[in-house]
Amino acid sequence: MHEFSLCEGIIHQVSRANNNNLENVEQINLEIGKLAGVDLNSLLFWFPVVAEKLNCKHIKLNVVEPLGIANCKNCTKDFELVNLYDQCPHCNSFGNYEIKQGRELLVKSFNLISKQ
Amino acid sequence: MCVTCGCGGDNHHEHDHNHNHSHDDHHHDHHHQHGDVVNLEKEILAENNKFANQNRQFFSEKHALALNFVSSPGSGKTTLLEETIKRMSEKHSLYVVEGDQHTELDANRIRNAGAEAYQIQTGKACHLDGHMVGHALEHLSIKDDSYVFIENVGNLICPALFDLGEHAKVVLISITEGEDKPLKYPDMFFGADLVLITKTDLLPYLKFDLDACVANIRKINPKAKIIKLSSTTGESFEEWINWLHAAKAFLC
Repeated sequence: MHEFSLCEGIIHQVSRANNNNLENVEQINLEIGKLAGVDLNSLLFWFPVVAEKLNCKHIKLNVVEPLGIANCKNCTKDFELVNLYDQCPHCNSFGNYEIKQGRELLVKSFNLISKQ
Repeated sequence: MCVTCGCGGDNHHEHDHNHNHSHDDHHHDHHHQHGDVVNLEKEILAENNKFANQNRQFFSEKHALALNFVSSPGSGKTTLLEETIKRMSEKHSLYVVEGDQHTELDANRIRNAGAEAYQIQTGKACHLDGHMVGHALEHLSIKDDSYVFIENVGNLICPALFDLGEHAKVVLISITEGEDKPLKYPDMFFGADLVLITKTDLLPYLKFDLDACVANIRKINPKAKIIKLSSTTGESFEEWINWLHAAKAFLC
């Protein structure tokens, strides 16, 4: 349900960066890491609801989802972290990692509608 | 109009109005051409984080330890705070920001226990955010060298994402919930500085594997301090109060 609040934040940020104008915004490009704590399906469900409320239901959403990559502090190797409780596949240690990728929660850019 | 953030000045912030925190606006004009891609590279949570940082600044100036209490509903957050207040309020100044979807019930319990409290009723929202907490703080007469406890909405998912400006996050899990809960809701336990396993007085009556619960927390978060306690019997309360004093000394 917090994805509803995130959708509001996303649209407000784009609006502010575009002189409080959403009419000429065609698409918003997001980066939401697999480990960011955001349910993408929920975000995609709520986005049109929030967009309609904010009078910009024409805006499309494009989301890139970086995989979770962690560096094991025990064996120093990188591995794909699918769940926060996964063990290192190289040395089998638990929880002893640093996340290098997958926590992103970014509005990367937005596209303006092309002139016909 | 609120002078802090430019919102409507209504303390009951429901997120269903399209307000504009105008002091963070870009003041330079953009002249984007049609068909352009405009790079932004901005954190989705930037706005929340801005308010959280203002709260952090406030706590720092007051030399007040701020803790964010998170858990599922019914894990014993309010009871823990009541018992903590009873033990500490004679010598220390304690304040509680209560977050619930509805009612003033928890704030009243805290006041009866002997601390000043402000109740946020989130209405539709499932978590507290930095903005709501900032306004709540305006209603408390927070003294220097005090403790501010923020009791988040009972929810093990959504509050994990929202920084409130706290010094540390305290996650509660009661033994009536099952030892697998840390694995089911890993985001919350990942961000914990302290995990309190509560209601330990019920251990003789329940099938709860305490060691497995600790092991599950450790799989996600090897660093968090874990204390097993009971607000009913007072078991391990001394360890919890000592943690509070140490956190105050080291974190603020």
